Amino acid sequence: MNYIIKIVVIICSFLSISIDNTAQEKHTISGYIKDAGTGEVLIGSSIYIEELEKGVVTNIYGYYSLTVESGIYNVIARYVGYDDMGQMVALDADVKLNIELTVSSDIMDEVVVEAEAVDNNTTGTQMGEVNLNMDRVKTLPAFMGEVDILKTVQFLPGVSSGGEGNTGFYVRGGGPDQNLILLDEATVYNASHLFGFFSVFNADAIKNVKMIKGGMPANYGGRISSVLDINMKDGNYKEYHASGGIGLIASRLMVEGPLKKDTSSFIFSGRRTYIDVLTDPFINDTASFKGSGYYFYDLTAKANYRFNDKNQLFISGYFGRDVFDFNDDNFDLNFRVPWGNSTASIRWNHLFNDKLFVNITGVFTDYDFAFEATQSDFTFRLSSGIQDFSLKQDFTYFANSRHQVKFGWSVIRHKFTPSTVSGSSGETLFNFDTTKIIAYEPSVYLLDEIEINENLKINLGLRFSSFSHIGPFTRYFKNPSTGITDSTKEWGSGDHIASYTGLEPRISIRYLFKDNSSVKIGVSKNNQYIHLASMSGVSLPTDLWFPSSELVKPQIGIQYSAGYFRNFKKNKYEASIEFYYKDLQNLVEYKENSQPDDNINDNVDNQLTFGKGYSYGAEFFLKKSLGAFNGWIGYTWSKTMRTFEEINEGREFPAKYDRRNDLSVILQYDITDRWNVGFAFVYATGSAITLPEKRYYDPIENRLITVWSDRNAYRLPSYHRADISVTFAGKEFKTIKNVETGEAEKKKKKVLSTWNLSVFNLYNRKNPYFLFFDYSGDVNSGNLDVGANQVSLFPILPSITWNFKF
Amino acid sequence: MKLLLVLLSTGIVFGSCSKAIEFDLPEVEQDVVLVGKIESGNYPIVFLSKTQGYFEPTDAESIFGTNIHNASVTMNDGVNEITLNELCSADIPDSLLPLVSQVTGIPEQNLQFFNYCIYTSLDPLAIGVEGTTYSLYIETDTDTLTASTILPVGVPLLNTRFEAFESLDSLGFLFGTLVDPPEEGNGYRWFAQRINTYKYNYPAPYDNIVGMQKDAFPIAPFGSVFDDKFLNGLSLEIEYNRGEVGNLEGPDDEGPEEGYFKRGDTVVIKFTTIDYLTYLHLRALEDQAATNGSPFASPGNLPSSVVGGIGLWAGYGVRLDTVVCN
Repeated sequence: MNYIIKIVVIICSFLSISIDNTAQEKHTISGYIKDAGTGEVLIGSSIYIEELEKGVVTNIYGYYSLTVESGIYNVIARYVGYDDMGQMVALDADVKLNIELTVSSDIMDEVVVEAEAVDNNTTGTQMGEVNLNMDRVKTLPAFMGEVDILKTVQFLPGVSSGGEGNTGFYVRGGGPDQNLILLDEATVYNASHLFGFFSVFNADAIKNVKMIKGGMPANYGGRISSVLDINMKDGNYKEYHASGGIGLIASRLMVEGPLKKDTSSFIFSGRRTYIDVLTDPFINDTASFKGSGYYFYDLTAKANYRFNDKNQLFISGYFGRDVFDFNDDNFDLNFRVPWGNSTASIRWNHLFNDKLFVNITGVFTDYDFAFEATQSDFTFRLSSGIQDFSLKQDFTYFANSRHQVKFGWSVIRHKFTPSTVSGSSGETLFNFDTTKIIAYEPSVYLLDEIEINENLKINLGLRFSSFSHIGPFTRYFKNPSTGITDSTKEWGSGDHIASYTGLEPRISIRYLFKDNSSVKIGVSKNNQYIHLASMSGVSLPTDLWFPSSELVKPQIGIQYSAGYFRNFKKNKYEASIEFYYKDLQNLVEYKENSQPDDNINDNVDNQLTFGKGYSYGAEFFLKKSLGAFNGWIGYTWSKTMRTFEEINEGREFPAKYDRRNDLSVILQYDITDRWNVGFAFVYATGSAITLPEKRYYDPIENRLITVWSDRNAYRLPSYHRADISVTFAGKEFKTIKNVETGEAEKKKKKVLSTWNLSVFNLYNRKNPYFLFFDYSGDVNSGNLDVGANQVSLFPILPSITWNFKF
Repeated sequence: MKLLLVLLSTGIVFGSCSKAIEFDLPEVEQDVVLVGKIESGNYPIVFLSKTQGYFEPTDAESIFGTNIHNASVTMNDGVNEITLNELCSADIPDSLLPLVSQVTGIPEQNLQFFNYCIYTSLDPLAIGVEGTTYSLYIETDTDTLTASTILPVGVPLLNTRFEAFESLDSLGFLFGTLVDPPEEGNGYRWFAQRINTYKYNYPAPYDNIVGMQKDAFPIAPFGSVFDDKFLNGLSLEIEYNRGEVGNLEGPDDEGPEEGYFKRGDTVVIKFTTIDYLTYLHLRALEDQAATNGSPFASPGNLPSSVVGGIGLWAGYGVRLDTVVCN
């Protein structure tokens, strides 16, 4: 492996020489940029050499490296919400420069407002990328008082919501399984609590959120639509702190501090809902459903240790569970439905030298769902899930200010539990196939970002991915007329079942104009080897992950995108227009009328039908991220279509989340340093739905039978809503009288409070959540009636949350 | 699992705001519908009709106005070709209506009030025989339909019994032991009919029902359909609550007795075997009834055994057993 690394570095060095041959003597300035108060590294902060007008941004570990000609330079470090830090540096040798930035003492400060902001959106090659500022996210209106990063992501252009109050999201026409959601590099397979109403991410523990909607860089793979890369906080390196909040449905607590000052830190956070606890005393002990209830909780923990400037170790984990209990003593019925994610990652950062950075990551991730029921002497347990072990190594070579190379490899071992069932009735045990499915997914990549000249910058990437589905495995061959297993084919442990490989080229080109605007174009191809099968119109914990097999080919997504990016007024305003066309192949859906029990003693992929899709659209984005008044406006026009062999009789139909128009307006205003107002408005074309077009009377069953329209042939009424929030921070200092001098002195309070009042659905719009069609009465009684009803989920919904920090 | 989704949907419906809305659906071409069954030991019955627009009038006249008359219907059992003739309830003497109700599963009062037209034959050759494949060939003025079903060999339930819940005094469920044959692919459907009479009246409009037989025909409860996917070749005890006839409320279908058999009832359990397509159709029918429009369900039309139209032609292998609820 070391031999390969050396070769790649030599090639990169050669490339850097070839494109920078005017250089004389060069030296490297490198280091970390951190928050002065907490010691947390600042991801994506910029370091800029004023005289050369050259700069770079820090990676996700806060590290930067910049190689330029010898000289004496003013080196400026910048990060949104922090005061700039400038420093004169004599660069006559390689220099280590760790910089600590201080949070702006007053965000109303004119100096901050007038400072030239970071212009990565115009100068970088990446398109469709948005970074969310967590401090800003926390002051946005919060649904039921719960700050939710996934709901904030839904406000971005090109990202459609999964429905009213739902954290599910669809990116540029892609399905919910086509989003790669990473938490400290561990894949999160189900990112929602309570059937999608809340995300699993506790905002208190999150440092940075990056959304990539298209043109995925080559270091990401395995999904064909988007990446949501979430980094947890490292914990405060300098002081112990605790913070938390008490809300309407949940409370949370976060504790952080140094394990060894400036060297090692930890953070631990937890959250739990308490609807079950609050309602339990009001339920009569004799009630037949006593003991029924629902709750969720999640815990995150992270610790790190800096051995020296060249080595740092991170260990982080997440554990979350939803639990739904139902009892009915009248029917002697009890069921329990637990589900949740567990992730753990261990990462080692190492600097070979000032230019070569490596991160080695080992990841465990698990998502499991279970349904356990008992009635009398009948017991039934169904479980499903996916468990991964993965190892990866990512190198970054900072050749010079114009050239950066990333390369690496990864291998993932997947273990799928498609639908494992056990059950008994009295002494009778049912027959179930409980085989797990094993697959390996290795990949390598090389990514080269080169600035050819001041105008032209190219990001070239190539990813080679592979997938092997191995035994043990049983393939069931079912007779479609009788449902009987005609035959089976068995593979033993380790036997090869199916393999796929794919070359995934990625390219994006930026041409920068002098007026701080740029044009970018990009093409990317992605392969996805694991798939999510959902029988529902929305994402549910019952959805099944399963691998590519000899029946199921990898999903392939090819995205073409182009955009114009322009910043105004010293980068205070960012504007962009992006166009995209996405071609999707080998998509999977359940056949019509499939039921969950069809997966039992059968293969999940036997219930599937295969298809293709496409999506195209235009996204308009205007953002102001600095100053007292900030926010963004995003508008998307798009079209998303699907075609499946065995759905809609093979005819093309709109995807459920096909939305022609999607508008989001996010505004925030810092009235003073203690008062903040947030506002959100969304408008979206109604979701595509299937309606009952016809019906007939079945006299044998004495029922009206519905005959449905073509798939998604109609539309729900449009969706729009406004939310508002007011955040009030208590005084940070109190005035006390110095007993010795008799003078009044300001002293920092031990406990800092903030109150967040949010009003969801400000004008009480009755947005359609779904329609249901029902008939009442009976044809023979002469009182039969059919009707359509629109269900709206959330009326105007105020909530208040008290947050504290000490 | 389905129960979980139903509970969730129900919770959302009750916990949220619902309002009636109207849709202006476009005119669409209507389908020919065949609904028919043949049971072992019984005559076949076939209903022919056309679909209606979903929001078209729902009065009985409109519903029965969709019936297709004067069609040519023939049934083939592989040996014999039997013509099924159109027979309307208006032409049947009232004294025979209880028998017709028992055979068709149509409430007797409905047969009296509405003119149900079925295609059937009283030819002894038309009586259902287990293990036989029955095919239909139908010609209407405009369409030709074909359908085929197997009338599977019946499987009896053993050790049928009633058991009352301790907490509910005299109310309980019925139980029976199913010994599933070793071969895979058996589908089942449970029906039960209380053949005893009401001993007392219920609140109006059921204030004059003493002496009336509780159930006019066998009723399938929700969840009546299952197959042997989980239990192939096994012996196990199954239990069932009492069902209702579609949306037709009976005297004891509201209140504490809803869904229960009662001590003192005499119940005929009609346990039937069905073929795979019938199982898929009926399972989807129950699912549609439970999840119509639920956001957690994916709408799908019922699997059909009819070529040239929609609907179901089903064979039932019947085994009967009587339980006295003590």
